[in-house]
Amino acid sequence: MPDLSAERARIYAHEVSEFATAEANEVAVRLQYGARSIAVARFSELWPQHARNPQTRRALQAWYLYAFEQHLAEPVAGTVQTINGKQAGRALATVMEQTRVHHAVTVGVITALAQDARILARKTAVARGQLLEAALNARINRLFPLPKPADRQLRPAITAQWYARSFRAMIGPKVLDVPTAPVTPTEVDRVGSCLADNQARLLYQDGDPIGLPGERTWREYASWWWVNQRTQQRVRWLRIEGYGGPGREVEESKLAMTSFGRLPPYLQSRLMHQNPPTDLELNIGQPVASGTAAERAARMFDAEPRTPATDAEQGAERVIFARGGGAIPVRDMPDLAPVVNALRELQQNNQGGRQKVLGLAYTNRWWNDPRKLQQATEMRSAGVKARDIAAKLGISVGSMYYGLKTSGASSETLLNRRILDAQQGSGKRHNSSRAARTRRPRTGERQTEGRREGRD
Amino acid sequence: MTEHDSSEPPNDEALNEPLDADPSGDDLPAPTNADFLRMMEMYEADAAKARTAKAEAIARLSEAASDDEILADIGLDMTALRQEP
Repeated sequence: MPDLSAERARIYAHEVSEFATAEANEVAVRLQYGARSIAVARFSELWPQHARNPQTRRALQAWYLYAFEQHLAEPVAGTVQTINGKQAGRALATVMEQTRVHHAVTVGVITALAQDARILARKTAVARGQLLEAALNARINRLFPLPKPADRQLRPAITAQWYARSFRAMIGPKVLDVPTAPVTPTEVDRVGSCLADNQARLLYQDGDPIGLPGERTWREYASWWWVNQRTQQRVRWLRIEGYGGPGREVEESKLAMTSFGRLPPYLQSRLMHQNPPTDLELNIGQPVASGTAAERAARMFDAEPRTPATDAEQGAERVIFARGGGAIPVRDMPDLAPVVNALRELQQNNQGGRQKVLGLAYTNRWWNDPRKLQQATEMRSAGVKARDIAAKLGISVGSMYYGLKTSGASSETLLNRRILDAQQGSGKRHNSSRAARTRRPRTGERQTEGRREGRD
Repeated sequence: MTEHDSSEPPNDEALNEPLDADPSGDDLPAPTNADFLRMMEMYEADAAKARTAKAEAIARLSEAASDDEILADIGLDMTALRQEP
């Protein structure tokens, strides 16, 4: 086994941590945009893109995405308001102007969309966390493969867990809303000495680092630092972090007066990162006694041991780590019914013009209702006139025909009035046929008429 | 003669209106939420620095590695570090 000086091991530990942190920063951007794409797709499902009334659709889509983005921005914005009054008012005004639907119905739509966005954001957060863990396992297997001889596996196993620890320290507070203590130079030193000694020593226990300040101590330290700054210094710090600046003066001064605990999580994390406790004497943990190299390395950081990457985990790695990325799979999507019902009510109450809110008709075809379809088929088989069936079902004659044809449940016999009429022997039909023959054909009809007569 | 040619959509307002070509142009509509925009501004700035940081980390690792055996011994696969999955 090659000798590794403590100094060199420390450099390796430092660079691996830097590399992992950089990857986490890249992944954070990808994850946020990926999550937003889920909301865009969700709205297209709620109200398909080819729907009419672009103004109403656009206003509601903007509102839906706004609400979803607000949840995504929680690490930076702090507490999320499910309904933003100003933005909701804007969407409300547009929809009411376009549809002239009563305020109560429109408010129902706005609320239903905001609730759906909230539930979707929650489910997306869970899906992102699971996908990330799967991807991370594949990632460490790719970057730090374990060599064949068992006695040479410990160092790679430690390096892999160290990468994962550094990655989580950045991605946790930034995207996953998991408070995680930042990596400190002291921790880097300790990992370096473990690598040099080829020893897995316990660095964490029950989620807290041994001898290093835990999450709580760290927060207290950062909080103390924040409290001891003058307001002007805090404002300056907020500006450096890209939080303040022109046009944000009110928010900036409000934040500068806020206690550490009420700051947005991202800002808390930045403060902790920049103000690590330095006045604690650090102990070195006991060596981990038993288990495989992967198990001992995991125990060092109080983490799960790595396992060989599955195909699914490798797929997750490509989604998360490749620049092109991919879609984040969200299982168990929120129930569509509350929003669809609210949108249908909007559609039914629409008075802004006959074409205003009709896009939803595509998701609400009458023949998708088995009861109605059966009713129409039975009536048509019994020889009931098309217009009577249509009136009974509350649809147009054209829609009745189209529905029977499209559903595939009916034969041509049911659709062809001439055959039915012949079976019934009604006199009126001759009149209508005569009228059709004597009526002056519209443009483009002559040829068709001729073909039909020839066929007859 | 048939009363209605059922192979075509009927003249029904819910089904026979011309489709909007692209009512919102919203394959991926631009974000509008100020908090989200600010967050992405900050995260993208971090990501831009991260790309440089990654390249520097790889360069320093290569520099520090006087011996390929040591790199392999601590589990660093430099080729994998340089590649995207």
